[in-house]
Amino acid sequence: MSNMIYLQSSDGDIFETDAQIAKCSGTIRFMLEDCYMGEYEGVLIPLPNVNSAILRKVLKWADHHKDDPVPIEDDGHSVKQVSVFSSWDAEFLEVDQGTLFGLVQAANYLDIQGLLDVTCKTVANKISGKTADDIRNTLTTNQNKFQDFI
Amino acid sequence: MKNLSEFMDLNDDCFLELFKYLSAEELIALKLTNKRLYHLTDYYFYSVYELKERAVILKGIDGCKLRNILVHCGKFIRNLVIDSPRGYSDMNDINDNCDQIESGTYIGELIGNYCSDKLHTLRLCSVYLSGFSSIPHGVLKNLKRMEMVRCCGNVDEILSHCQNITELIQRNCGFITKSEQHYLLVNDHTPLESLFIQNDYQSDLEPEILINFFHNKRNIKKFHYLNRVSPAPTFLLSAIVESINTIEELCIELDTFSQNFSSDLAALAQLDHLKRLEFNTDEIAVESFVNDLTMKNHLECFGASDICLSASLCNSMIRLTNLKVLKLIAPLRLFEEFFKIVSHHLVHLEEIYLVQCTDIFFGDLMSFVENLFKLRVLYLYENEYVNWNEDDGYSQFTIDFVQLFKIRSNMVTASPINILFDKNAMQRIEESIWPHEFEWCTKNSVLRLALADDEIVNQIPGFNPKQNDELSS
Repeated sequence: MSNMIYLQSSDGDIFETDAQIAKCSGTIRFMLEDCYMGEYEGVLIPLPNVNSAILRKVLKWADHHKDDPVPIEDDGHSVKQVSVFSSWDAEFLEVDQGTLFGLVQAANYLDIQGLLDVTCKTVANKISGKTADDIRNTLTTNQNKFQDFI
Repeated sequence: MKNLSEFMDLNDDCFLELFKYLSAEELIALKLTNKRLYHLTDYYFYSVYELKERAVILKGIDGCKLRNILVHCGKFIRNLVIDSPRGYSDMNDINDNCDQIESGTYIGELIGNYCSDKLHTLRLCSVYLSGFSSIPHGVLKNLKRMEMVRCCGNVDEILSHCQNITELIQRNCGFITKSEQHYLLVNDHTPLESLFIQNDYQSDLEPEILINFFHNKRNIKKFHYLNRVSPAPTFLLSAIVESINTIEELCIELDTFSQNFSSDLAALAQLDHLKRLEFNTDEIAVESFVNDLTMKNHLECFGASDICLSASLCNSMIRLTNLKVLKLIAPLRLFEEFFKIVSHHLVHLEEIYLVQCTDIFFGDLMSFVENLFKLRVLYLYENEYVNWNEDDGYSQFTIDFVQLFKIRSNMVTASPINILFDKNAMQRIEESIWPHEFEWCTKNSVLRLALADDEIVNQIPGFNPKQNDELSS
């Protein structure tokens, strides 16, 4: 039996989704199970930190990965390794940098470890092997963001 | 919420998450882009390198890279590993191709100038040791664990700064010739509890120096001495028993030509605290010694090379019921009933190492391990398996492997087992079974096939690589 809920993006769009899919987000799972005490059919959850373009992508990712096992917690004792991306994930992440950073921020806010893993690793790959100058040139179009260069 | 378009629009939480995927070198590049990331990376260095003691691992002796990392995060480092892939060190490579480092600068000066007294663990592999004489006193004062592998240079210089070291591992650093050169061996005020000396290529400490050392170090708990050129004379064993009866772990390459081998070995049964014992025999009878060991029955690790696995020895070994680690190296014969005899007795085994054993029935081995709930490691190195042959494409391997997989999958509380093969066996398996079968064997979470680490077998007494035998013949 599906249990539909509604998610509202920062720009006001409302997305209907299966609660089971939305629960891959730790933030949403916490709200549904603790705030609504499990009685959440048809509830509307506002997500003021995620715009509709990003939320649409996040839900697409969550739907594809709904049967994935829960990722292992990081103990901080070594650099995190992400096994090779699936071809679906690789294609999913062929996006402009703004969208990629938006997905990182959304995965972090919504507490979706699997999405955070693949998006952070993608950003990490862009940094790997680069000098500070290269990073400034590659990861931003607005050099003012780095103007407090030390 | 504003639309994100720039890297620097990410919030601090996201950056701290992203940092988890970056090496020290990559983090330093990021640190130098702007002030916000400068402070944020410093906070991250503090939380992982200092608080969690994550190892900073530097592969290769690229002087610029090493200097850059030590300058920017050296003050946080508690666990430093410098590992040259060259496999040897006979020169100072640090300032090669690096104009930021003055000629004549050595690794000791870089560590001394940029690390702090928080340094707790230091591992140096194939590094030329020099420059430690001029480092500020106290930088290495809190160092507890030091490992040097294939290092050349002045070992005493570095050790004289390490007054509080408790664990020293010195493998194939072939320069200890006289006692007065080795600070830790002659200074009886150091709190050393664990000493591991290995030398595969040239003669090492004189026995008298070791006897003096034992006499001064009554609180030593772990002693590994592997000298492949001049193995320890067995009369050292009684000196160990007399002087350091606190010993819990003894791993020693013995001179098997000694006339009193069996009686000298028997003295070890008097060590009340002994939990881990590894030695070599060269086919000398050890039944009565093992029998004596079983009287204490708190032995957790037993390793021996070249023993004759007779029925009577097997019957003694089954009384070592607390055994967690078993290592058998080139036994005279792997007694055909061995697995069946011990399987219901050594139920606490967590690690099994079988090296250069002949006539192994892989299926029997799989049946032996199936009920060992706690088994995590099955290390198989240069063994010969009876029913594997080229013709049937190793189908027997797959059948036995899958059989064990099925049984372990149904045992909810059983540990996953890592089955580790040497390079040749692994290559033969990979070439002989279907690629999807091989991938499944290496990736499932119950029984995982992987490559055995050669470094482990090189630290087992009595191990002689087959490769060298073939080369010399």
